[in-house]
Amino acid sequence: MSFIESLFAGFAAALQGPGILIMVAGVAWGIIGGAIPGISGAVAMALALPFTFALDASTALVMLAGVWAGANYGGSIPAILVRIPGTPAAAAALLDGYELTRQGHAAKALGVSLICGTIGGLISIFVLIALVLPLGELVLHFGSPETFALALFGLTLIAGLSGPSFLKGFGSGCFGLLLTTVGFDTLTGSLRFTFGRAELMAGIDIVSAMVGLFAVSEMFHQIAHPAGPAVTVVGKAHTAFPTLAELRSVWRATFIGTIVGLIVGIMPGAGATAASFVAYNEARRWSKRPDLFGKGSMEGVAAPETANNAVQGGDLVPTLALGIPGSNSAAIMLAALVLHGIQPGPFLLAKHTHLVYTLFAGLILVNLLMVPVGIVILRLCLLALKLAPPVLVASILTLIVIGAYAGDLFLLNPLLALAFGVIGYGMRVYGFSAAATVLGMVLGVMAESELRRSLIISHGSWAIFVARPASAVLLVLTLGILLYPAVLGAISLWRSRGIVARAADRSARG
Amino acid sequence: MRKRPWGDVTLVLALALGIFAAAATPASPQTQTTRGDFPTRPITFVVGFAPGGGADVFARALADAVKTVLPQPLVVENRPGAGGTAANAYAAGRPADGHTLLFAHAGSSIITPTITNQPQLKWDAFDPIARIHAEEEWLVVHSDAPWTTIDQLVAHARANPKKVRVAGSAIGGIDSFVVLTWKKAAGIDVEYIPHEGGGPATLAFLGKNAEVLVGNVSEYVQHIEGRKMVPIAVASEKRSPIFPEVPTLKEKGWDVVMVQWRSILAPKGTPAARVNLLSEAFQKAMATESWKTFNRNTKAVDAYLGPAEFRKFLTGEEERFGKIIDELGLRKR
Repeated sequence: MSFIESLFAGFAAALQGPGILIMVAGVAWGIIGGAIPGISGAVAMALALPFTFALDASTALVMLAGVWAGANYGGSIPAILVRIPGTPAAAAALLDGYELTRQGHAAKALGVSLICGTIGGLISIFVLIALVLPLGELVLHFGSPETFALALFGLTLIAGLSGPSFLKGFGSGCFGLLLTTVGFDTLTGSLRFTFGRAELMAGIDIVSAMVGLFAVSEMFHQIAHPAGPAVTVVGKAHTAFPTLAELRSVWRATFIGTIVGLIVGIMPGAGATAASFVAYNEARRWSKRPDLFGKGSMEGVAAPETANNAVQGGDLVPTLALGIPGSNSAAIMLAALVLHGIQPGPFLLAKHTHLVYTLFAGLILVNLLMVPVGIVILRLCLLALKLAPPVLVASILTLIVIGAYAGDLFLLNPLLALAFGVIGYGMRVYGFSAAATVLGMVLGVMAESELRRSLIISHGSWAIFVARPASAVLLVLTLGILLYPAVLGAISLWRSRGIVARAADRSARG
Repeated sequence: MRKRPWGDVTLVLALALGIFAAAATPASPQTQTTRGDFPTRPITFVVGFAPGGGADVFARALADAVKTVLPQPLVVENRPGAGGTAANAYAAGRPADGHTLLFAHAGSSIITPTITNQPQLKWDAFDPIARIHAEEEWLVVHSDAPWTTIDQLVAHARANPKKVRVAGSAIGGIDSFVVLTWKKAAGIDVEYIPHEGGGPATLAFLGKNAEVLVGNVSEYVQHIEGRKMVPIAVASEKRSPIFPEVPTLKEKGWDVVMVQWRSILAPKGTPAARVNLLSEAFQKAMATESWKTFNRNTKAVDAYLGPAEFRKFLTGEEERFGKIIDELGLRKR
């Protein structure tokens, strides 16, 4: 059977019987689960897993794919509306998405997130279908040194998140990095800064820290400044979806987000959260209006949301080509296969071609279904903004406490969220950047463990970072980004001095 | 749609519920094990690891196999965190009436509680029900490597201290214990590269970042079939039925016997009659076709032990692991 025939057979299989209803149910649950802080995409998929036992293997996979795609989008809903990242990957879209809500453009931000996310998801699936085997070889070239280089590359975003004082932003980023040293150290087996608490063994819960730094601090701010810009700018503007022209204006950010999502998705050590922050940074760098970032830029929503959906295709590359899951969500797809009596592995494509092509067709369909299902759900969520501010603040705080608890069911986590809320509020008052701290936490674990692992691999030689091409390219780019402003400054200084010198010359001659 | 957003959502939710309800209808039970009033309601099977991982898949496959044996279903409840011990704390606080079971392996029931000095979470704070199956620990090399046997590898490692790198999962896990005891027994100096799990370790090995891979064969068996990797030794008591031509470390004279066993505990004080009923039910479940298929696909081997033998086994394991933990200096003071 040819490639196209296989794909059409896949579509037929995915659509047979109650296929489309199962996909709608999967996508709807994914969006809702993703929107609840504490329920990540992988957890939403796991909760749906038992329901797939009675389905045949391909329908089960398609349903889980729907939950996965839905959760990728769902996380951005509370992030944009009330500054709660529903999933860690939505934290980057929150930076500009919430600003847009404050300006009365909630539906526009949610719409951009939905449409661009869908585009990113679809393109990544097409790339996956076309290139799964060659990309599978590429995965093996992305080891610890490359992941470390990517983390460094991502950390340059600290400069973009710093605001007026770079030093304070840098300090905020370092604070985030320091926080990631808490917990069980994989490389030595020792416990660091856990104070004998089992809850801290896996490190400080990133969801609790994020909702604390972003959402709780915002609630404190609103309570302290009731006259200030309220969340609830109720009005017509909130329900206006993005126009076609507005969607066209973010094409560059969408393109960047897709590329970043694909590449980072393929890298085994990095996931959707890292991808969305890197995409945010790159979109800002290449934007015509970088000054709008952080102040309500649509591109600032489009890029990270495209990236975190595009990670789906990248994650499935090692999963299908090598039989090794590219992320927790991909691991659940493999678990579903095992529970259906199918052995996953590099021969899945050859031995179960029909199943894999049904999955491909299903992935395309669920990404398309995300638009109508997403619109219905986001319209409902917009109603939340009609609540009176005190009711909204109280509801959000309740949601935060539940969300922080729901992840690990530790009572410590809601307390952590509140403590981070106080820290976040203090940072805001004194001009520090909570976003830089979150970035440090997201990339810190990756940076530290991959650096140390690289040095074990290289028998202690730092040359490994420049000897491997992908890592060398990333490091050169990082260095370029860091030195670019300084070089630019030096050039303009040299030029202006040249002009002054020439002018002086002329006047001396004249 | 613009006028009545609630109508659409109600429809979607109703459809979703309908599908879920249809999908979740359980198969009809056949030969059931029951004694008097137990079990009267679904049994909660607490798993301290995230859904989709090895422990979770094991639990769900076992729950699926036992549903034809018990009149009530086994419901998996994931409580991940703290190396699996968060679930131990949770299960310990539930009534000891047989309706709560706890997943246990060496890491969650012996190693982590010992390292963190939390005896209240260790296996002996619970009642052993049964050991179910085990995944063997293998040493694997690249198929294009200059060595093809464990002897050749050890000779090379002896001549080149610190040059041979072994990829495996985190320090404190079975993988690392296999390598650390083997290294000591064979008198060689190899470098251990810890990873977040077996998957990342396999990827690093496939990318030629290590000369040797250690871990459960299910993570990479297809790469052995694809002739990219060659197993050269197994850390089991006897040669494995999976690759019977591969020698054990023990027959080479190094006393390294460690398997990744998976088992079931119950809160302390669970009535003996219920403990026995449950362990018998699991033994019957292991004879079902669905369980056999699962074991075959995950390359695990059955390792059933009833309550009494399992308790004896755990006592021995704790002593052995305690020594290794002390040698490594991992115990918290």
